[in-house]
Amino acid sequence: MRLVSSFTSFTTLLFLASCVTINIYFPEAAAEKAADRIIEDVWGEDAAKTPAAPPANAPQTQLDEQYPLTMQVLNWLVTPAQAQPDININSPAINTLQAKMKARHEKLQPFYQSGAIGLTQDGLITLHDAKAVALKDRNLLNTLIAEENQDRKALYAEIARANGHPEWQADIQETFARRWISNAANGWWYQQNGSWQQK
Amino acid sequence: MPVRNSQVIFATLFLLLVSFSVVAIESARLQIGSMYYADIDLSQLNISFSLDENGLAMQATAEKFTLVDQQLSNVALNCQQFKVAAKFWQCRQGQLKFTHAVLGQQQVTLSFAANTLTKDYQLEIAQLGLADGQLQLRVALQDQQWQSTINGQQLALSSLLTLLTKILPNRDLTMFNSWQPKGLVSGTVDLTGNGAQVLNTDIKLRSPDFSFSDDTGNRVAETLDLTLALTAQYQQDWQFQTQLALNNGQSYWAPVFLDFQQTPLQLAFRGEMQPDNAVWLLRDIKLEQQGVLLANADLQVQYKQLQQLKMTVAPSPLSAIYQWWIQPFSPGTAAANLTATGQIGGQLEWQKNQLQLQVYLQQLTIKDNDERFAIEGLDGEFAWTTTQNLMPVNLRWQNLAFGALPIGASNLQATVTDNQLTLTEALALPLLDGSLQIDDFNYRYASDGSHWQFEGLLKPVSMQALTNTLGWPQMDGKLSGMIPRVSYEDQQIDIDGALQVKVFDGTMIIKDLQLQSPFGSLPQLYGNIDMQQFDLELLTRTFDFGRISGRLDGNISGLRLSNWQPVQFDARFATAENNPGKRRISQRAVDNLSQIGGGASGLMSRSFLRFFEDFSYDKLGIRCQLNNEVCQMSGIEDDDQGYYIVKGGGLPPWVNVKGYTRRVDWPDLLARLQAVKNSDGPIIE
Repeated sequence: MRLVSSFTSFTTLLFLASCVTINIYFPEAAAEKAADRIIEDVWGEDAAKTPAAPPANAPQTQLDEQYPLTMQVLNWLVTPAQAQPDININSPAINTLQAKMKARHEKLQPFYQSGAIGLTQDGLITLHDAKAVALKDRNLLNTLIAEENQDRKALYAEIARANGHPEWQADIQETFARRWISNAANGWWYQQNGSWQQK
Repeated sequence: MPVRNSQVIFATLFLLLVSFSVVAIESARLQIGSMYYADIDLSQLNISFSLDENGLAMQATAEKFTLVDQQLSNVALNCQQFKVAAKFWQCRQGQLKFTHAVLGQQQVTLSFAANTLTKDYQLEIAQLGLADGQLQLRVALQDQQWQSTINGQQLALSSLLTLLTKILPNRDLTMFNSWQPKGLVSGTVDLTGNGAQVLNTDIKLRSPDFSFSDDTGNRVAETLDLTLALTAQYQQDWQFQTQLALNNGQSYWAPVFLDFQQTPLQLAFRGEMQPDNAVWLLRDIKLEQQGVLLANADLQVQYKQLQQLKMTVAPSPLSAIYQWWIQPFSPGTAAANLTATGQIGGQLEWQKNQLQLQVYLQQLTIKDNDERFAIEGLDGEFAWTTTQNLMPVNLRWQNLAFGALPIGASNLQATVTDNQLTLTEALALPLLDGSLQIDDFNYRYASDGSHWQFEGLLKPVSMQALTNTLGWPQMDGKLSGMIPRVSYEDQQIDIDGALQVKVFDGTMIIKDLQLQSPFGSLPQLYGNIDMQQFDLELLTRTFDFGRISGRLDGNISGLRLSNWQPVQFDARFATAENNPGKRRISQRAVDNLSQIGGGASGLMSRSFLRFFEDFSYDKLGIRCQLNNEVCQMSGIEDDDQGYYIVKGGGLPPWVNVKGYTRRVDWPDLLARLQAVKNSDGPIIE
């Protein structure tokens, strides 16, 4: 009998231990907030203040729902900070990138406005209507696009790394992609399901 | 087309006129309800002749005149100077009026002459209003030989294309329409031929404002001032000679932007077209972009695919070549933002999957405007090939710099073959008072990007020179290292082996170095550092930290620098386990340490301990785990409230320094260190 009980506690322990790894999920809501903070800073007045949509359920929900009791125990065991990780966007590298992007936005702004460039589905920018750009400015714009995309990719990677989860890079990029589009000013172009839309 | 049509016109007119013999004395009139001949359909034809003091005059009207699907209505021809003989007809300066669905109402000057005996025919039409301009057409036909001249003045290309689309509804003009040509064109097209074969073409066109654009707007020209001369002769194949001059306007052919006002362009070539195998040969191509480059080339195209290209570029100013031809291809790369001067020339041979390139460099200076690298006084020849041929590379430079690190004059000898460059001699890069020797350097270009690797030997560089150059606190000692392998792949440089720094009478080993996206937005440097037997006295003197004696060991693991700023590491420093040495700590150092620990500042100055100059200690140490801008601090030993940074021992007086703050804001800590460095010493109350 004693053997059985100790076996049960052992499996419970194992189960809990395995749950801990599951519990480190991507903090969607925090990421959205972080993204909005950066976007509002970079775009300034161009950012339409759209409240973040309620985050989609994190990938581990299936397990959660199946074992709500376990998760409750777990939340009690694990400190809240771990269960609800925050996204920190305060690092010299992130600040540098943010400042560069903010400075660049002054040059990019007229191109967003004229429809020359638009937002992509993966959190970058691309050429939308070349004809809206004077020939002599074409290469300036190409350079701005390349630099902006380089900085954006670096930003997504750095946020993931700075928060100790390099593997979150894709999630962060995806969150930003949504938030850039939500925050975009009226008249700006963005890609959705492979086709161009105008806000 | 004009050939057949004019033949038909003549034949018809003559048959028509010849078949009715004219026997009038002063005037005669013919009326025909309708008639058909070949492709010609006439209805309500009226012809009248009259004879006056000027000679014979002819007037003809027709309600409808259809010629090869083109219908003219209200046709009226008035020929005041009409000559007619048995086999000879002539009308000079006749006036022809007609209405055409597309051309509208027209009044043109028409002259013609026909000799059915010698089969000699001539036709001239002038003042034909077309596409907002005027067209003049002259055709002469003798037997099968013909000659035609079309002269257009101020024809609007867009209107012309609209006209053509309407006149030739069955012809596919999508190719022209998709380029949306615009502008006014004037010029002459001379054609001669035999039967259906055109034998000679001589085209001279000029437009002051020629523009075109494709659908995407990525291949565009705006208001080009264009002069084109093209002559072509047919002898089995087509031989042609072309000269093109662009003197104004701009073009963008993604990603190349050219401004022809700043850099007028002349292009000339002769060539051959073999219709049977769809081969175009262009020879003696001479391209001159004023102030930028002068190139000579030959090329071959088959089935619209480039088959072969040989090109020589005369020594040209790199600044202009970079601006117009290199920079547009480089956004987002290390070459995106350079200042480049000097002369560059070379030659290129290309045929399917085979490239051979030689570039001659004269006194080049290339500087990254973001100051990441620079090279000065670069001379020599560079080569590249995708073939198995062996080509030499020989480069010399006066100065080279990576960031603040200066590298002296060097000479690089290498060979290139099959997309690879290999050093033939070790490359010695003078670095301050030492040097970096590079062996077995190999650069390879593959579809997945660039790869390179080398073995390195860093001959001792004095830390004094290095720290001065980098603007760090001056240190004594030497930096050296054996680097078995440095490799680059996929935006990442890995450095195997270790760099050894002999400094503070101890040793620092830097290893596991990895640099990601060195020229990207945020270069990432990773590494691990071990430190042994640092003499604290030398170290504290260097950093002006008060005075501590004794020996220190340490390690920094999991170090990450983002954009050259430390953002992550786990650093521990502690009194050496072996040979800790004589351990004394000055009052000022104690105070500084306690400040850094975030607690117990001024502890000693408040106590009687302030009367002592220095103290002995048993062990000291500090650990900082930096993550997310927060340094998690600890010392050598914990107690209930805090952690010991210095634990006293040995002969009294001795002192303990304790830290209380566990989580320290990293910028705050840096500020504290800076404050310590700048402070004059403890204030002793």
